[in-house]
Amino acid sequence: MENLIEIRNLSKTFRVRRGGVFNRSTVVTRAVEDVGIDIRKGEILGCVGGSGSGKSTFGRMVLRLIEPDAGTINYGGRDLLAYSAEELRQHRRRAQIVFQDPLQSLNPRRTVAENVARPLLNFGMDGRAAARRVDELFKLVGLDPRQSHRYPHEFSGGQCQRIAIARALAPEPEFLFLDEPVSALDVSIQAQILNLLKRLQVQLGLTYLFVSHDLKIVRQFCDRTMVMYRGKLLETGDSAPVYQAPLHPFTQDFLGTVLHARRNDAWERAAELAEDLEGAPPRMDGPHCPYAAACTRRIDRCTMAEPALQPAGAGRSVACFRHDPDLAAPSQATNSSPTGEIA
Amino acid sequence: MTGIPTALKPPIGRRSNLYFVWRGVLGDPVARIAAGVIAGMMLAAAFAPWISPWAPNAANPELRLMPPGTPGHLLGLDQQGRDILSRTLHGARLTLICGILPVVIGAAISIPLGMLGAWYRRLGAVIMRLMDVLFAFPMALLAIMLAALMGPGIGNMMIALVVTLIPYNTRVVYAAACLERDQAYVEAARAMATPDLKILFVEMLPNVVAASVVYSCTIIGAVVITAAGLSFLGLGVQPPTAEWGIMTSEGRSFIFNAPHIAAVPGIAITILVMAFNLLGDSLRDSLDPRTRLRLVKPAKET
Ligand SMILES: Nc1ncnc2c1ncn2[C@@H]1O[C@H](COP(=O)(O)OP(=O)(O)OP(=O)(O)O)[C@@H](O)[C@H]1O
Ligand SMILES: [Mg+2]
Repeated sequence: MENLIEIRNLSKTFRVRRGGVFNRSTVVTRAVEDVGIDIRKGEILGCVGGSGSGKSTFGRMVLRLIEPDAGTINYGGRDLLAYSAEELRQHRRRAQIVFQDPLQSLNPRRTVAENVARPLLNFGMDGRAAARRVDELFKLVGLDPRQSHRYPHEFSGGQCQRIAIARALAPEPEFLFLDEPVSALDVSIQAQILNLLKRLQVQLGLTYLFVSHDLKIVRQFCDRTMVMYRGKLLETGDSAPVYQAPLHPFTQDFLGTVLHARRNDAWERAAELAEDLEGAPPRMDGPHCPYAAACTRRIDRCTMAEPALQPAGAGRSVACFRHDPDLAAPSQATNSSPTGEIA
Repeated sequence: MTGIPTALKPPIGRRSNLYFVWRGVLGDPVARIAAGVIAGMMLAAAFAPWISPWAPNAANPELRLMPPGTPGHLLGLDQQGRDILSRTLHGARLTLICGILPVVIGAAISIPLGMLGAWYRRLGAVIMRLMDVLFAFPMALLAIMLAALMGPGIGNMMIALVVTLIPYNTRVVYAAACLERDQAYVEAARAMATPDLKILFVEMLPNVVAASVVYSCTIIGAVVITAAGLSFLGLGVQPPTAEWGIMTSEGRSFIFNAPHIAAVPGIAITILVMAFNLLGDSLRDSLDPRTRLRLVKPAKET
């Protein structure tokens, strides 16, 4: 399949200044570090990882809502980062975003019709044509166009998310960044929105970058999955094999804690455990694997060098020395993976 | 080249903010009274020359200090024998102008200032430091200093009041705009290639302006009182002119033997200030789409 977006070595470091004039200190967060991945035309690429692992930052950089510090983004054969202001403005038609909190992502003091029409008007459509297109979009996402003069708070969360999706689709984009689009919704509504997204993806030939905390959803919904940890990309591959036989120890632990506990319906606890994985393990000096401190299958090399993302067969890649073909000595430590065979 | 978007035609069924303000104020009995009081005062001020029984400065020294109820002088007479009712009606003009105009002009300056400051952070840092400098002085003191520098007169007093108000209103707008700036709908607007100024003054403005309107309504009271204070110090309206602030301070010396001289304009100021405060509260509700439906149609329909 053809690649729509080719991302290489993408990095972003946030520097937040604290304090006044005299005791100024800078907090440095490496939100995304050296991430490279291809997003293929017409696929749904899932992105999972704990809280603060840089998923949202990554997606926003792909849309150029956040300027990357380093790296390249090749969008449809062109260098996205070299776009002029006007080119970027035109590019906004092609790539859109849907947020986690649907109510917050709509302007509360504009009717939903005005909210949805805004991108159309921005790209020079006249008011009457925009109103007609808004009606079409409402039907497309399964809402009654006659309600379009209402205000966002008069709709339920699921309806608001439909409206937000309608707005994202208004300029006829080919790529959507879905930043946890169902996390704020009830479980029963989640399925409806996911079905809608799936239908739209097929119907309109869209490409999605889909971020979610809910691994079960990512596994069912996404063609491929990328696993992030502390701003780094640890593993990618088709969703089914990544979930059935995760290669990276972090993925194994992450899936293990989340999916096992989920069977016992202790979702809350599982989420906590997943957060723990993201918690601060002791910092090591020098280059090392980002997961080395918490890893149960660590080898000496892990604390001395940082593994690069390497192909691991069958379209998969993993950043782990244990799967490095150059380092053909994976036999000594035989800690069986704790969750290798989740069905 | 850049297709400048046309203004959005309101779709059918869409109701304007003004409609909701109107309905909200009518639907709330307290706001209705407050709006009625303010409207009444404005009418009285506008028609003062025709409805007041006497000229504001016509003095009848024989009847000086006479209490309310004196024949022909409903609210009594002051220390020079001038009719207090006539003076109060005429005084409403200057009092209302001195209270409202500086607030409106101040808001017109501080809304763009606060919003641009919230959006362009470097500029914002400079603006807010400047405001901090103005903040270092108490409101009344700053107004007195400025008015004294520029010399007495109504125009100068207004300028002094505007400058005094700007830091307060700018801070309110800035805080509201900073909250809005981080909302997802603003990021969504950026993702839709909405130009910066349009994000600020089309998307964010309605959310920010409500805070400023409510604040302005509550500050009008303080402005009326500060203006009265300036007049009292001889820096604003000059004595023979009828104005509630001056009238109150002139009546001060007779507070024991003729309390009505200070009381009538004083009560008028109190009522005016209260009416604006109550109206401000009601406006906050009717300007917010999340609460105003409740005001307009009492919970029915889905
Ligand atoms: N504007 C910002 N300024 C400073 N730090 C930021 C900013 N945005 C994100 N960060 C930091 O970057 C890191 C990654 O944030 P990001 O929002 O990308 O994580 P995430 O994977 O989306 O998390 P979540 O699942 O909670 O949404 C976090 O540590 C966050 O605190
Ligand atoms: Mg996020």
